Amino acid sequence: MTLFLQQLINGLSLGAIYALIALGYTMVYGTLQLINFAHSEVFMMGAFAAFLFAGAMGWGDGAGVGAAAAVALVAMGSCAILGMTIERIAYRPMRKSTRLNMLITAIGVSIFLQNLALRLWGTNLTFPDLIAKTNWEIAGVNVASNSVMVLGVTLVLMIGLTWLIEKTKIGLAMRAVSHSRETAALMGIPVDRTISFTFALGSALAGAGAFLFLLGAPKVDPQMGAMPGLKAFVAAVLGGIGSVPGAVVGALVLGLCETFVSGYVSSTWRDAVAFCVLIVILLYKPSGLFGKHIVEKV
Amino acid sequence: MKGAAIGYALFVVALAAIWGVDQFVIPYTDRYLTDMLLRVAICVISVSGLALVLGFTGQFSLGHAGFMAVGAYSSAVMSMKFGVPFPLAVLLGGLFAGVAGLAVGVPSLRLTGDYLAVVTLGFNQIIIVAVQNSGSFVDAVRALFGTSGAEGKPAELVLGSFGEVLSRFGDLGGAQGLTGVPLETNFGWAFTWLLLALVTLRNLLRSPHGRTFAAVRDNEIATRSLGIDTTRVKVTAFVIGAFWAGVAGSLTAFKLSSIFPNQFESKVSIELLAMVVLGGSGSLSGPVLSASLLTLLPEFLRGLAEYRMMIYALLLVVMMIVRPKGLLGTRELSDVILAGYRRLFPVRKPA
Amino acid sequence: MLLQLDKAGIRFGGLRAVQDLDLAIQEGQLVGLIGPNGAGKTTVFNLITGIYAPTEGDIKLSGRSIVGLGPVKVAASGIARTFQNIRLFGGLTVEENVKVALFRHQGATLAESALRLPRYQQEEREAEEEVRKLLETFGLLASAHLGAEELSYGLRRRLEIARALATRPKLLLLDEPAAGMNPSEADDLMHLIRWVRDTFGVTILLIEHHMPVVMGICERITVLDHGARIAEGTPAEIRANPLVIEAYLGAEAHA
Repeated sequence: MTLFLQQLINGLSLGAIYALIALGYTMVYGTLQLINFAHSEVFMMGAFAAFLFAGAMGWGDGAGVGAAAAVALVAMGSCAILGMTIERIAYRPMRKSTRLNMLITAIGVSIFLQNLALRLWGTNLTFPDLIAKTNWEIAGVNVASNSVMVLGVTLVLMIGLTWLIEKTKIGLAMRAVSHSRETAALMGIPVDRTISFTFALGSALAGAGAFLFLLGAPKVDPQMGAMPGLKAFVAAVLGGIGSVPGAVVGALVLGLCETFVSGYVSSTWRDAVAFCVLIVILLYKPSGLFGKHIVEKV
Repeated sequence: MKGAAIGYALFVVALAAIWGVDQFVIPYTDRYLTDMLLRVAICVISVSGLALVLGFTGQFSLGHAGFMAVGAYSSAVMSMKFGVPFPLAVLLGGLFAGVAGLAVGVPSLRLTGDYLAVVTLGFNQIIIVAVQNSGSFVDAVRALFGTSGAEGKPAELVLGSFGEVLSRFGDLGGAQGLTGVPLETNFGWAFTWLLLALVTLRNLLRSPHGRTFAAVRDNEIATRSLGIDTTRVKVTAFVIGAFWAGVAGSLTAFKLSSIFPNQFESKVSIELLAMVVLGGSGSLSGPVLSASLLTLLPEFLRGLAEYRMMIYALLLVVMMIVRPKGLLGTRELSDVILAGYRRLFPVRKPA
Repeated sequence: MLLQLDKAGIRFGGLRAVQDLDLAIQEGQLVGLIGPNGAGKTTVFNLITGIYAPTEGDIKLSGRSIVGLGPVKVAASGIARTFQNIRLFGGLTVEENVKVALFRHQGATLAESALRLPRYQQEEREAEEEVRKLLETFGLLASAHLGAEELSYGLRRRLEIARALATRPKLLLLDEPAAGMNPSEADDLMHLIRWVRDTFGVTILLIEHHMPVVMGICERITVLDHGARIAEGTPAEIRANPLVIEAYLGAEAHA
């Protein structure tokens, strides 16, 4: 039983990180109907930003919560800027193009960023343990402080995001643009700015995800975004791409599946779980758990 | 009738030329140059298959390298474990890849562009993971079926031999790679397969089937309104593309002698995709041209080898923004040459 | 009776886009389907061609129900259509657009095509011949080798109709063929449609807003409003029908 609860917590915190990344995918898809292949590289760049900033500030192991918070914010900020830049330079000129072409552009950006990081910084760098990790015993279950942090931070961010989307003007603008860009424009909503903001927001969340990811897996590498990115995408599709609550639910489910398979079956098949889930959903319910099926007008 | 006869004649002549070169020219040619030619031929075979799927049928397949892997591993196993001769092994590699294409295509091709891209990417990864874990698969099979022994009840014998076959198949070397594949790929075979690929693809594209591929790409709803089963058309293109990827993969295996799963990762699929897109989706000679150029380019830009992927990526993005139709767009090289010729030598009307 | 709709209807969620529709078309007839915008006319076409499945009622072609067959099988049973927004194959030439329509009637296999075997060659020759004749009768022969997108609007409409006819249909559905045409072009089209029916013996169901075209060639007209049939009859009867006038112009116009 304790093993089960252990896995449960691990699964949820893994899912939480996927959720932070998945939100970026789902919000961009909702707005532009584009699978932002470059999002996984934004995540990776966030990790690098965190690493470089910590290094520049001379913060190493045990630097404390303050340092950690600063690093997290820098990661989020850098990602936001990167996301907005990518949108402006690579995607905006493609708005009138076919979806296929936009997808190819996204792939191009993704490869470019990966190789850029490789050229600039190399591979296999280690992120310092900024916050000392401890384990607590709760109801006989071994709970890592890491997991608590991940779940806690994610929860706070989720609440913030929900408030932003439901209660603010910009959130309304985002929702309007994802329903219909043209109508939103006719209503006087600044579409370009809203789209930029959407990218910034999704990317910042990915940056937060990168920071939290590093807490548990402190390796920084140009390829590190590929797997988590793909899995987060699967999560978004599972939840129904374009749906914000869907992305979160999908991510948690995926995190749990992956952890349980890894724990109870075999860890070598861990990565395959995400792909199998993907294939199953796409074959049986492509619109996902919360998604809508868009019918082409004949 | 006459046109076809000329076509056949040309084909035989080309074939003779290829083997003539193989026997009389290649032995005196620099090894390095030969190697380059082989790499170009193999790449073009693979890219042509993808051009059919992506450029002509408009299906966003992002897992082409996965089918190359199926071809490579199955042909290697056929040759090393079952003693199949090289030419037949390559054909079988293509066929296995084609079957894999069917298995992947039938469920996936109902999906629209973006989703199809992701599913094919996923399948590519699954194939890689499967190869990497082939060791545990073999262990599982051995445990389950036992292996054939001379004695035992008939049922055990059958299961045992089935298990033996499966485990022979499954022993793919895992992440450490499959070594010891005989070095059989030479100029003659590589270019024979290339000739076959280009000729059959070109013929296919100018046939009723070829027109349905383009029709599905241009307007699927209209195609269905003509009573054409568009899913079937898509699967057909997909399987043919997979077949040629398999052939290319097989030729690779018998050229490199050792094959590793990471040679067939999604990264390679994306490179192949880039070649099609840059060459011009909707053209066959376009991707052939770009595949040749992009395979040869790193040789001439030795210093930039580390930047290769970055250059690809930038090229892709810039092309998409500036010239989304690619180098040749929907035209064939023959059209371009003809147009250029007409411009240089305009036909003057009689006075 | 070639086509029969028997209390056919479809609802999308809470919206009944088409309800309780009875429609009967005899072989060789030229029938019009009219109604104000949003009345559900294209939806009826989509129901007949199998793009939507009706949630109520039945649709029969030559006595056999075609509900649930899906667009491909329905087309294969002999129903061809054109679309409101012309759907041509942009990457193919005019000639190739029509050749695609013959695919269903061709038998050469992939191998035969890839290797240019005799059956492929013969079928290609026959297809070439059939397409040439068709293009000639539609006045498109001169543009045969142009890209489909290069034609003028009027010629593209004609190409779409020629392509639909190449499938050798029993029933041809034309969705607003005169859209975007000036009076003289619409007049030409009118004659073309009637000529098509007379020459090819195909039954035609036509959606149109261009009243001169409808009144000029249709033998019978069905009027839809808000998804339901409000009138059916000859052009003269329809012209005089107060319900029809009201549907188009609103109640005040009648008062």
